[in-house]
Amino acid sequence: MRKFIILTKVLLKSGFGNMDYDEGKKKKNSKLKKSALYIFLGICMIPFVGMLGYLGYSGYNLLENLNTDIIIGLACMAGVFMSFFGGMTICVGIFFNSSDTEFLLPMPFTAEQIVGAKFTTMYFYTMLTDLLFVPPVFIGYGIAGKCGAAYWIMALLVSVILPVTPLIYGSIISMVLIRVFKKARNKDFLTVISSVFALVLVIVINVFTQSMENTTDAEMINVIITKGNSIVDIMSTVFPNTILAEKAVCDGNFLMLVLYLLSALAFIAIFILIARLVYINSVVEMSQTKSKSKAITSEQMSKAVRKSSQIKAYVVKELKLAFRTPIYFMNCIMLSVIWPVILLIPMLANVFKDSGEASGAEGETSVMQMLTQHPEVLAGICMLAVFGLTVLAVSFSMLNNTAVSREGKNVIFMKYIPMSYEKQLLSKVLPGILLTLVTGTGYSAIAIVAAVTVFDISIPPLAIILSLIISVLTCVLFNFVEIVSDIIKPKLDWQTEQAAVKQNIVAIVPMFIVIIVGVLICIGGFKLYTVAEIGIYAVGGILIGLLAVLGFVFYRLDICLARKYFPKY
Amino acid sequence: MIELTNVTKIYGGTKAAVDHLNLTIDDGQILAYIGPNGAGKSTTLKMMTGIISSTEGTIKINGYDISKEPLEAKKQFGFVPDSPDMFLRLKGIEYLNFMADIYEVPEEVRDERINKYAEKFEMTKALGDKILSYSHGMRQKIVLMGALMHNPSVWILDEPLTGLDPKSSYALKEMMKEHAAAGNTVIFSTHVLEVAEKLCDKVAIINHGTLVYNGTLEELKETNEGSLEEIFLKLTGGITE
Repeated sequence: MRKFIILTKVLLKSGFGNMDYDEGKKKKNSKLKKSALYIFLGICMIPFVGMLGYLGYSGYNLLENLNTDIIIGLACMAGVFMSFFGGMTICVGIFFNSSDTEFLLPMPFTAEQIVGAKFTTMYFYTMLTDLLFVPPVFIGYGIAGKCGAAYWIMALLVSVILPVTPLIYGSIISMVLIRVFKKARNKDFLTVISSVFALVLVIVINVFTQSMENTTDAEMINVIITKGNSIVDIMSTVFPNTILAEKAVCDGNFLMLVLYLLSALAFIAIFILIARLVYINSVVEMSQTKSKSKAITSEQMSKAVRKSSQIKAYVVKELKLAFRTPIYFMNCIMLSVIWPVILLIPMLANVFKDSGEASGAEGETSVMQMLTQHPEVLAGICMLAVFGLTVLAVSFSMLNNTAVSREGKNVIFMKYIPMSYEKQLLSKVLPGILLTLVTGTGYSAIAIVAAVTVFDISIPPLAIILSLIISVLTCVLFNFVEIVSDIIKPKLDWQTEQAAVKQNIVAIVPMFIVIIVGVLICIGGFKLYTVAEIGIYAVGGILIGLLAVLGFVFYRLDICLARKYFPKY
Repeated sequence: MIELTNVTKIYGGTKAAVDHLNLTIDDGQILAYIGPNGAGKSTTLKMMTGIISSTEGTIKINGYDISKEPLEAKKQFGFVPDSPDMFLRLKGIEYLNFMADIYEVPEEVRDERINKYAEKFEMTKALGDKILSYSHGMRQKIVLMGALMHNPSVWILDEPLTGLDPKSSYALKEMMKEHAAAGNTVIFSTHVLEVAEKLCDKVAIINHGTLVYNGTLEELKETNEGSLEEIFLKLTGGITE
């Protein structure tokens, strides 16, 4: 047990990493900055956490006379699902792909101690994330229901225990995957497989829950009771002990809590047993990646040694590493590429379904026809939508938020090569810009083409041109914005690649900044049109000017920051 | 040529990792930079290459000051860091071409240089594979090959022989000799005194950030009694007289 505790402590410390590269006397200053960062993050989270709290509060009021337990059931399931999804993407990495494994295996640790310590580390990270999702709903519910002390104690303890079972599922699945793909035993391959598995699950659940949107209160009650119950039922079959958590919180039932805790401990025991049987054997037989050991032909050689400029070579290197490193690909690129599948397509489908129903049933002017009659409004909506889509695409891309952090110990390379920091900075920002030009501007262009051709909406050509220019400039500006925090405070001291992107608190900040600034710009544009009564195309022109100026300002700012901070790493 | 004048590096405001170091490595020389762990070897090499700045003093590579003309100075040398785990998901050939692009090596000579070094270090069959699949020694070789792609006149090598098999180790030592014989400069850090003895024109011994010896091995042996190992231990406080 002592060894397990020591190992867990070390893994937790190295996992959180040391973000300080400042020297001695600056430590105090650094602590202050870190506190400021956490406060800022907390402020950014308030709307999100508040919304969840409101969900619990209003859910209770809505179902007060029917079945309020379903709210707690859904909150527990959401927490379980979040933990499972998060866990699936990191389990292979933590258990099999982490560089510390090679140090731990020759040491006198048993499989249980290694797996137990790694699991505990993973549990802590996941619990911290879950705390943002589940407790706010519990709090909203508790306030609405004026619940007593028993409820609050149970809610707190359940929030803490909740991630255990789903994480064990993820861990067992990762070990099963290793056994199933026995021949592959390739770390990269397995990381991709487990992440895709989790992703498919998210999309399936998302499609399943889409029909809960756009309903009236009465319909919503019905949907929550029926669909909510069926979701809880399905998930309860998969995660049977969650029902105990629900009962413990809803009824303030201490016995249920004890049973829930015991069931979680039983899962841990089963997991440890499986780990004892398979972990060491699996991990020692794994290979990093396959090698062909074949000489390259002269033709391949002449293709491979073509000359490029420094910036092009650096950008290509950045993109290759981001695409080929599964953790980076899944976290920095994939979400930005597939976000329309997860968010937008079901949402748009609902919008068009509703507008179609409206025109069919009442014979009224459809939304599209109404918009066609007001080209100025349509132009405004087009520019707003494209701007919004691009802002979302940029916020989903983690390439620039982690551009420096991903270097890790290789950051010294940036300092001894004969390439100016300005060029290196540009080379770090360009991959993010290229990605978001595809996932922001590209998707916007596809949406416009679909609107014009499939849905027959005649968007004014000038609006289309302005929208696309806005989109391009938005990509440029916000990518320069996103890299700021990573220049100032990169996380360079890490053992596993996921620590650079998933356990990197500083990398989350730009996502919020981008969305907040995006919303402020939208409000500004809207006010210019409605209050100052400036024509919509003029507003578009002003927006373009603003984005261009801000883009240039942030480009210059980034260069100054790069000159100041790059030599300090 | 490398010139370090009065170079000092202070960490945390008080502790001098390198203290008023004066060292010159002339053209045509191989210098072994020796010292116990934590003596300041890596810190010195890092200052020479611009990875960290010196608190005091100047460092010139072929006449270019690393702090005032960093880009020109960096073009003069090829550097092999102590850890060869660089860009592991690039293929060997991609890494070499990337280095060639960064150092602006003309396209016409790349093919020839890659083949030459690949044969020398027996890496021909590994170039098409990702560096991730390489052993430690192979990673060391590919980083070394990358550092030599632009044919630098100054070689700065941090523990370059660690992990190399005997054949590659021999090849590298021969290459270092040839390079110096052609009028170029080599500095490498090592713990292996025998290597220094067989290969170097000069040795510099550093202890607690201070240079305790700088000269030829012959002079060192003449002025001190015992084997090279014993002399080294005496100079660095490993054994007392």
